[in-house]
Amino acid sequence: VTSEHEAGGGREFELPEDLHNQQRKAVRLEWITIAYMLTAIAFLAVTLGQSQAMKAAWIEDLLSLLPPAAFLIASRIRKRDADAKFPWGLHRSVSIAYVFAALALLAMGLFVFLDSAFKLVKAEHPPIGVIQLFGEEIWLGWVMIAALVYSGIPPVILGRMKQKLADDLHDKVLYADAEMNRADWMTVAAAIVGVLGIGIGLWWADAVAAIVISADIVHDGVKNVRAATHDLMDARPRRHDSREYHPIVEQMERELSKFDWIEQGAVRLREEGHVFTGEVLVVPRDGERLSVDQLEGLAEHLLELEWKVYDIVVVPVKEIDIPSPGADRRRAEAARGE
Amino acid sequence: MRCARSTAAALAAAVLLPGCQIPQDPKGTLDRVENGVMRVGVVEADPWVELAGTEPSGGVEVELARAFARKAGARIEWIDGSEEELVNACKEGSVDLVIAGLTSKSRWKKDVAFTRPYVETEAVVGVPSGADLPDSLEGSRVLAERGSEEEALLELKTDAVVVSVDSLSEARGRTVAAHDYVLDDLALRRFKRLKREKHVMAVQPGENAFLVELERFLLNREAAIEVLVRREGRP
Repeated sequence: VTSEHEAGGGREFELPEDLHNQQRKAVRLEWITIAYMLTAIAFLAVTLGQSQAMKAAWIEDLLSLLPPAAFLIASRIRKRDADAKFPWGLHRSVSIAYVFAALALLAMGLFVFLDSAFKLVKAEHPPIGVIQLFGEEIWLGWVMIAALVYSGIPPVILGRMKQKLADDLHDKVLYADAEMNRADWMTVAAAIVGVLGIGIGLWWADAVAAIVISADIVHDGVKNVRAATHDLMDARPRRHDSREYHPIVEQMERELSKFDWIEQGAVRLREEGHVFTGEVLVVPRDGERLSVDQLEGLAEHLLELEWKVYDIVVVPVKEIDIPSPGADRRRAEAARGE
Repeated sequence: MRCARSTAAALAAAVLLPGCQIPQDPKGTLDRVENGVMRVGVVEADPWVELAGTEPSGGVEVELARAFARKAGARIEWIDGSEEELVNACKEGSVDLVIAGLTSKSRWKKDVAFTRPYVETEAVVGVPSGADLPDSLEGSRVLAERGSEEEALLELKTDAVVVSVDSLSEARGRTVAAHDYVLDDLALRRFKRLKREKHVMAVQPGENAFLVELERFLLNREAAIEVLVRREGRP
């Protein structure tokens, strides 16, 4: 027996009614982020000069366009209905966007890291001259610092706002984006230290700052590639901030034990983008004759526990043969009992 | 984190220290040159650098280097060589300044630090000032110096019949491909641009105080430099 959440209003979102507002806010914030970052990227591009740290900060800003873009694209595609060609719907578009964004992060981080390390080893001294602004000759370094501050402060505020929404929406891409924005000030600080270092005659400060920034990008990249591949490998669902397993699997198994006619049960869920899908295996008590209504009632009851669970299949079986937290525990207890 | 914070504090202190100039040279070029010796690498590049033997006899960049040295109270030690020799020497710090008619597109820009362009020139097709501007150059005879870049650009970018000559000094009143700074002397006016060039000088990369000092000097003299280019560029 299979059951699916039926959200009202033509299933405009995968989300329950009370989260629609948050979703709209998140979409708006992401558009604001993209618009602002484009101006920051343009500002940084004209002041880039030959500073490696500036280049690293600029590339990080370029990359920070990816998560918002992924979020916006995915939030359009994912609500399309399942059809004959995509029988499971397009929820996974979110995961795919996530993989691409994470890979881009990792690749660019590695590139900047190697480039900067190479420049440090070759002892390349970055030249920074003057720029003419309003008829005045100003050292380009000061303008770089102004551009960095411009590119760094508002994203921190945006990041905080987005993180709150990501918590409400349990949205991974939004969360990763918010984290990246919130950490932006560190990039900016490192780049400013690099530019000021050049200013006081420490040529290596620039490359070192760039290495620090790129190491941070690589770290983010590794973390996100890992999380994204886990999703595609149908790993057990985690909370949106990846801190721990999502409690829903155990919660569902506890629910199963409340039904008299169920001898044993096991739940297996996977993440499909924003939502969870999976199977519920139940072993009926001896002599119990199951009806379709019973199974359907169980499925509906379980779906009500958590809006993120989108689609589950309830299957009566003779024996539980899948790993699940409950089944594993029982097996361990049985082993100890012997 | 604590380490980062104290580094930042140290940097902030260094920046805010009174009398502490920003930017500074890692190798102290500006300090050494001021009231000392400035080693200037020169490569023949008419009209930017003109040599008589191993010493410069004139040229726009030679004049500018002299004026800059005067301002810094420096004595100039001229060093002649090929571009490659001087760029390598400058990169390693045994030459402070290279003047060789370099432009911002030069292949050396990865090895040495270029100043901001201090003047822009153009290679153009000039037509006699008195006459009407022609509709096109198709079939018209245009003079260009033999073996010059303009000669090739003329062939490539226009339908004109190229007439190669040894010198443009006799070209007064004819249609020619030449640099814009000779137009007035040849009584010509601009008809079509063939190429734009932004002129720069080169210093050792990273010596930012010296670079900034030189750039400030050059950028404050735009009008005077235009005049200088026209005078030195006379055919």
